[in-house]
Amino acid sequence: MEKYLSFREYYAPATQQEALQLLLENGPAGRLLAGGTDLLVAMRDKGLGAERLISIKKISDFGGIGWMPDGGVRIGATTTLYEVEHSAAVKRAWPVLSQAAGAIGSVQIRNLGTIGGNVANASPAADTAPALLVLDAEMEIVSASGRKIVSADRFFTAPGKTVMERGEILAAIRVPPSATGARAAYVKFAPRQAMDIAVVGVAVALKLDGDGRCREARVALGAVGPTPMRARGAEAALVGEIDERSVETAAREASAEAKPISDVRASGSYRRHLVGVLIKRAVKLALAREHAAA
Amino acid sequence: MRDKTEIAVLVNGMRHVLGVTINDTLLDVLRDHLGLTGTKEGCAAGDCCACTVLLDGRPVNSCLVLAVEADGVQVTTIEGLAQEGKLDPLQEAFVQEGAVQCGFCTPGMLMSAKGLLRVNPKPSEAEVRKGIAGNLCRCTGYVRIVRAILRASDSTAVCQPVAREK
Ligand SMILES: Cc1cc2nc3c(=O)[nH]c(=O)nc-3n(C[C@H](O)[C@H](O)[C@H](O)COP(=O)(O)OP(=O)(O)OC[C@H]3O[C@@H](n4cnc5c(N)ncnc54)[C@H](O)[C@@H]3O)c2cc1C
Ligand code: FES
Ligand code: FES
Repeated sequence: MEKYLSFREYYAPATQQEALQLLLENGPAGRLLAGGTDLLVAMRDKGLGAERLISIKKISDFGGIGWMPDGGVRIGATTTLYEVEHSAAVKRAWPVLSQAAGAIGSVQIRNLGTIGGNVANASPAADTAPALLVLDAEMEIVSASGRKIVSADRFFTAPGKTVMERGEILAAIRVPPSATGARAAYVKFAPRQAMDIAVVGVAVALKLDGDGRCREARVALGAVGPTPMRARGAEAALVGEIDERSVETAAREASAEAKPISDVRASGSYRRHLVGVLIKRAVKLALAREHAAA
Repeated sequence: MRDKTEIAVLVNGMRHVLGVTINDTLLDVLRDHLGLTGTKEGCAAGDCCACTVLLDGRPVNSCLVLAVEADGVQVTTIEGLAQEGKLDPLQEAFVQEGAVQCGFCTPGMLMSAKGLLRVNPKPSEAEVRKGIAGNLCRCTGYVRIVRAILRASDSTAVCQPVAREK
């Protein structure tokens, strides 16, 4: 198979400082490598040029899942999708994220691919993105000038682009504590059940009060715009009594908010239709989910 | 000629110290340096899983692992499955169920199955299907493969009578 990798240099720094230094020294030629499931494939198949690879998997601060003082969780950027999928903490308090991570590729891909790579790669169809959006997750970004926090909401800017600039590394993703009454679900539509990129992905999170009314809703869509996106009209429609009518309105709103393109996977109008269908499924799934607070 | 980097890997229980280039994948090293050609290359892009090996016990696509990153890890390939000339129960089950046709996908299938049974010794049919979801087979239609994996899992389970004819 004539598919050679042609990068010239490889580094595996042990500390964040070294990694940042290497990024600065190498300028545009330097490229961060995590699991490699996007990057190596792009280099081999799409001729993406990257002269120097800087692997960040040896940096301990970028790995692992740990509790935060507020009851939220900090997921290191190099945590594999498999680890996110099977983390007891994530499964219990944020099952929607476990579900989204588990919807990616194959177990082989999930054992290599990282959650940081999934979001940093910024595919509009990245499966963890809608889940992170409805959970109000935050991105912890480090650079030579320190550490900053950007909400998932403001992280994605264009296909393959995020707010991160050259010289910055995504260190971790922080997920705030799951509120009492919070229920969320992710629904991915793809022709094949596994190993397929989402034609449309929909995540819904609902905060219910004691008598089942919805206090707050989050709806996020994948693969129907240049970036993963919140559907705020749909969110507004779901607040209050959740019944057939409000879900119908939410589905209509979200379809209208989506900005899908037509490509080999699906036409734009089909995607728009799917958004409506999937919102209804996701709301149903979310409501059926037992809540376990963090 | 590119510079070589030295790596130490434990492959099927044997320690190897190898000189690799930074562009070599683990798959290249297994096949071309160590002559372990049981592991197949189908797509070299993560799509077929014919190249599946266990890395520290977990199934991965060896075509997407840089050899330099395999330094210090344990790799199990299809050649390491049989122990002292005795086939692994999974291999036995594949033979008994007729789960092998052309055989190209078989090493990857077996390694995925091995990885699954390691963490889930008694999987449901759905779990088996999820475990091999990435492994493409163009011959069998998967049914016999799924049956074979279930058979092997049952046979290692305690006091579980084998009764799975569907
Ligand atoms: C066969 C196959 C099936 C797939 N199926 C799916 C699917 O169903 N759904 C899905 O969403 N994706 C899928 N993917 C894509 C990919 O596996 C995921 O996006 C994965 O999470 C990428 O993570 P990685 O660690 O491998 O990233 P890498 O390939 O290592 O990196 C991806 C990009 O992000 C940058 N990067 C990585 N980490 C950081 C960081 N910490 N800070 C800054 N930049 C960083 C890299 O420089 C690179 O540009 C699939 C890929 C393959 C090969
Ligand atoms: S050769 Fe590795 S997945 Fe196809
Ligand atoms: S037996 Fe031929 S590809 Fe599976």
